[in-house]
Amino acid sequence: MIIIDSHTHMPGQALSLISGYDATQFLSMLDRNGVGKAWVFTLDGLYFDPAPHNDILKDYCAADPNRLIPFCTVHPRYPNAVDELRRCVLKLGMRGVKLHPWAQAFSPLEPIMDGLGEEMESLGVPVMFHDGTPPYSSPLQIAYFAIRHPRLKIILGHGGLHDLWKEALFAAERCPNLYLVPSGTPPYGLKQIISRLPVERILFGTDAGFGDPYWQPFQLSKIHSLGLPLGDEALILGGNAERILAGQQKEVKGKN
Amino acid sequence: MSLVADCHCHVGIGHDYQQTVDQQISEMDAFGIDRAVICPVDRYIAVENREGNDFVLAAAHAHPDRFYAFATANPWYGVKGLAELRRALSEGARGIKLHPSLQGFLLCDDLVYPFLELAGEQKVPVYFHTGTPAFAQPMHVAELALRFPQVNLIMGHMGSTDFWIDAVPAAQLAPNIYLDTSWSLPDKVRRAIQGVGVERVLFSTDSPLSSYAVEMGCRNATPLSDTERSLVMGGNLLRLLGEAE
Repeated sequence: MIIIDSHTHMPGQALSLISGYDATQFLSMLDRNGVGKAWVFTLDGLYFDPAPHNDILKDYCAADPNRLIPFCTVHPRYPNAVDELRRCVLKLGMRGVKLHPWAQAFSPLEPIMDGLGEEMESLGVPVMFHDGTPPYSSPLQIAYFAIRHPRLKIILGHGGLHDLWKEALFAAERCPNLYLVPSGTPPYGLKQIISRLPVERILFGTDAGFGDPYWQPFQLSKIHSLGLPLGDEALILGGNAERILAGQQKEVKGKN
Repeated sequence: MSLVADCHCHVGIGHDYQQTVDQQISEMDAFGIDRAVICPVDRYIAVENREGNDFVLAAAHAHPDRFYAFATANPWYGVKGLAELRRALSEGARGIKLHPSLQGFLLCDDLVYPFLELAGEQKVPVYFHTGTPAFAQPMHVAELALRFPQVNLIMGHMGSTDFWIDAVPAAQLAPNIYLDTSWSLPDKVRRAIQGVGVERVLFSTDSPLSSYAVEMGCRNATPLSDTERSLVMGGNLLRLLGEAE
């Protein structure tokens, strides 16, 4: 069984709580915690012009492309957002998209999201949203985007955080194409979510690289403490993330 | 070995939370927690305050060596709420717990001033849930703390999640603000100690919403000197409650 951390950030300058983590140190953090692979997002690209930071992230992940899987970001309000998305996926080989509505100052309900959503659908890449915080990142705001783009796999990066985990559950029940990373879900809320939502819809993720190196053991302990059957735990810890990207690979191959 | 004391958790049977007194004690035993501040659960915070307060008071009376009861009243009950707090304090409650988002008020609203005056008169701390926009932010706690310098205020969860950036700078504005560790990973607790001094940082679990396993895991992973550990894990709370360890 492989453990995949589906929510990590390349440490950066903007709001980063740790510094000096080069790719070798990042990989040794994964080793220390028994994590096989990580989906890696930029941090600085959420706050500054994304294009150079997409390039930097791609180079960072090149240290071990089998284990570090880069997701790009785009600023939905930039006129070149769709072009930048296509460049990242088709030229740089990035495997998914990370969006952060409050940091990037957009609502998932804005018309500027239509073109991006359609392009992500046609490229077959999943998109992870920061979620759990008003005004722009409530789970049901992201559910609206999921309803408009039913072929797109959309992931809530924090499972509603502390205040909106119930809303995250309701959003996921409403939208079959919505997945949850319970990285901010309280342990109590996670138990409720697990009892109601198919286990295939939950992905392990930690936000590692944004802050404290203890983030991964902390989030692993949350999953282990659920005491799930081993098969279910394996799906959450890695199987589901693998399936999401495996499907995408086939589609990309089919197009070539 | 100094005592380990949890400065905030919930006990009772509510809509979401289902934590019996026996469960609470067995979890505390399992994780080496000597004492805990217990507050009512969800619906008893929002409404039916007296029932919730009576539940935690009865638990504290039955287990005086394990529990300190904190009472709550919805500030919208006005003078009735004030009377309920006064009653609960006279029956042994050791502090006041307020939850702006669950009780529907702006944390620093003048609605809450009478409760703060009561806390000052009775010399008990007030614990505020924080972290929920827009009603429960660290700067709201600072505003109240500056207005009521005679009352010790606990900034619950240090603004977690998205107001973590504000927590320490806001707490630096007033010496009567304490920060609690629930939901905070080791780096945030170090940051708090560095920012406001170790005497103003209090261990808490927010059980059963968070869990003893998760919160104790975080605290065991937090690099603390022996003195720091003893203060954060219990000494500061006991001092705040006027208890000799």
